[in-house]
Amino acid sequence: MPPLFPLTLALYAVSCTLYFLATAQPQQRIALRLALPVLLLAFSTQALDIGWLCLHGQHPGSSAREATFFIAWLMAGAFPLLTYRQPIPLLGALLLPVAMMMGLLARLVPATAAQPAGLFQAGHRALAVTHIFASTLGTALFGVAAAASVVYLLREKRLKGKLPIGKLPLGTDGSQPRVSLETLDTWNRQSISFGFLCFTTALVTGTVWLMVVPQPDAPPAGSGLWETTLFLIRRPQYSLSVVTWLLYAGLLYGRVTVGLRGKRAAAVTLYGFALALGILLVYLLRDTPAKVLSS
Amino acid sequence: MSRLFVIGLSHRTAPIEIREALAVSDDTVQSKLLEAARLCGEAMLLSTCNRFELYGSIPDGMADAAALSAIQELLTATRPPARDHLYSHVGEVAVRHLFRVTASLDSMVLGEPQILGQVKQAYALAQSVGTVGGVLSSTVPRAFQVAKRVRSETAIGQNSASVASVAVSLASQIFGQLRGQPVLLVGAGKMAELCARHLREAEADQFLIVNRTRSRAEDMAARLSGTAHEFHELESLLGRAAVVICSTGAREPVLRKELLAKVMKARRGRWLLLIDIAVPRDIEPQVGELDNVYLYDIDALQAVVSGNLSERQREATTAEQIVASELSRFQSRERQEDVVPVIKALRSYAQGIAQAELNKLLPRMPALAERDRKLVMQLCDSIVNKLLHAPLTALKRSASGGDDPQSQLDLAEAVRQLFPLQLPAPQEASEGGASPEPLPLSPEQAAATTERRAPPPTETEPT
Repeated sequence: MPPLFPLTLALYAVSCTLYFLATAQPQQRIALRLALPVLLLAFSTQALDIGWLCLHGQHPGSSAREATFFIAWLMAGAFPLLTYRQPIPLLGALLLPVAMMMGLLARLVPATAAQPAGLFQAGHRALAVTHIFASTLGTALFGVAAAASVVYLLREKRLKGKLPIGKLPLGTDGSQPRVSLETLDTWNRQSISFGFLCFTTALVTGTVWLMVVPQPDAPPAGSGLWETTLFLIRRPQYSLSVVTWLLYAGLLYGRVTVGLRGKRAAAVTLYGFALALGILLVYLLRDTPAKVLSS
Repeated sequence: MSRLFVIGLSHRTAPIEIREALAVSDDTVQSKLLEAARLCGEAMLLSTCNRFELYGSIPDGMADAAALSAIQELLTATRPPARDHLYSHVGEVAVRHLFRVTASLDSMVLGEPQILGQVKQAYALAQSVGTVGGVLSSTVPRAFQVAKRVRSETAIGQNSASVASVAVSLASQIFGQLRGQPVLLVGAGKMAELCARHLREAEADQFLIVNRTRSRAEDMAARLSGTAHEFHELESLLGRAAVVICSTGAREPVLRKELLAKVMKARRGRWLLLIDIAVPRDIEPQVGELDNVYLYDIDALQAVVSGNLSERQREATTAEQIVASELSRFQSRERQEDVVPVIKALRSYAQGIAQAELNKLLPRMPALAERDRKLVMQLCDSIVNKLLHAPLTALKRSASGGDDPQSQLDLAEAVRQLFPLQLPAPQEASEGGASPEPLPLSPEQAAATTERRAPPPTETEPT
């Protein structure tokens, strides 16, 4: 375990609590003022941990566990970037616990000595690193889009329900402009656009890797398209990735052609992120030794 | 203790006719301030549409009643009926009143933000005329801090308190910046124009006006720097607009769900805020079911306003607590400042005695080395400090607010009586530009001051 992880976890927990408090009690601005420095501290200590892990050969591309840890770090870092001008404590209260739980999950999964067959074997290292880095970044961006979508849906519900404006759990004080529905939707679109690009890269590189690196259950050379497709479908992470890719592709296509935005776009984003988390879970379970799972 | 006073009237005590009669123009404010300062040394005049108040300080040696009576005469000389509506407060009550007014707790619309700016303006004017002295310069800036604290620590000013401002708030929550977002006015009613003006203040800059009577649409377009359009252009205009304000006198809905569904398809799902302030309603309620369409009719807007006002009322309780705690701190600081001259004088008195004795002793000891002379001087200083430590601590403690203010005053007075202290004159002790001494009275004013009896000096505000 990286040396600063307990501290990192504690800082994230404090930061999450502060964002919860800032959401529930917008007038108590002290919580919001403290939350960001604590989050930045947590982000920094996690960065040091990632550096330490890299020095010990456990870089983000080395296993699903480290990739998950890295995704958590990216998601935590995205929050201050998005909100440095317009604080949204609710977004912090939603995004940071997810990032924290992902980080914790990554550390709870036991280290595995066995990496997927031939992952970093000579000649395919660039392919593997690109695949893991692109999928990691893509999942983190989908996570950001999902958090923005939850905020959007909550606000939209209040606006449609004609609830008192002052009750909206957003914004911190009168002087700060609240983030509008349009802005939240823009964050969603931008995060998904970049995330989709990364995810497509990951999917392509992953497919190529499966094709070029010998696999025990690979179809014999010269097999037809159907055999190859079955070979890919048998891998749940691959099937889930394809479904996720199709969902986000449909969302982006809908945005461009029929103006799919707002509530529906937010809902699709959430489904997509759930699938992306599913993929991550499959990888984590695959990397976890069987004896740990059975015990 | 502060000798601040306030005398005036407000929406709580006087009808609009009286408030109008007392209101002073910008040209006459200066002369009023100077006249008031001649009577009481300091003056600040707060004149708004809901309030007319004069703040000042009662000079030492002048009775509260006499001072207030003279000021009352000055304010109502040409408008005697206004006297029945005046209230006056002195000292702590006046400070509390100033804090509450500045924090918008005494405003007609609780929590409205304009009052702070108006008090700041009144203070700046008084400063420029030179009628701000020690009392006002220590109290009014404190009131600004209290108002700032109230606004930042409570939600008293956050929720919109009128239909028009709710419309602006809704638009901001959906679109963020309103610059570049077209606002379509369907019908050229006064309420719609009021909403449009609020939106323009929030930086909306494109107004499209549709009305069955073209000339009225053109008039409104001219006033709002917008463009007038024919009614048959409505569908295409709906495709462009971000905010639509409906206020026609039509008996049947002007915007139906079928039309809006078609428009939304053409808009490719872009958000649309519909504000329907017409009765009967101009927009079918089912329109609100469409995706990305936010429909608020007059009842919904009123409900939001009522909810917000209730929220403000709840926040006012917290705000009152802030005012009370700030008042307590202010008084404590005032008391400490009152006791500082006594402490300084006592220390100076004791050090003077020690120095005088040293001056007598040291010439008689010429053989004393420089180092030993310093030791003797240090010894004297040490004795003085140790002797004074207990009384000074007691004075400071009593001034810090924990004890009864009266006992603190008694303690300071006892020190004054026990030691022949030379305290600085009030004008030396006070801060600020204006003299706390009243300017010379004219013979008539002097007569008025001595002959007239003022109303009870405190808590005379009618309920």
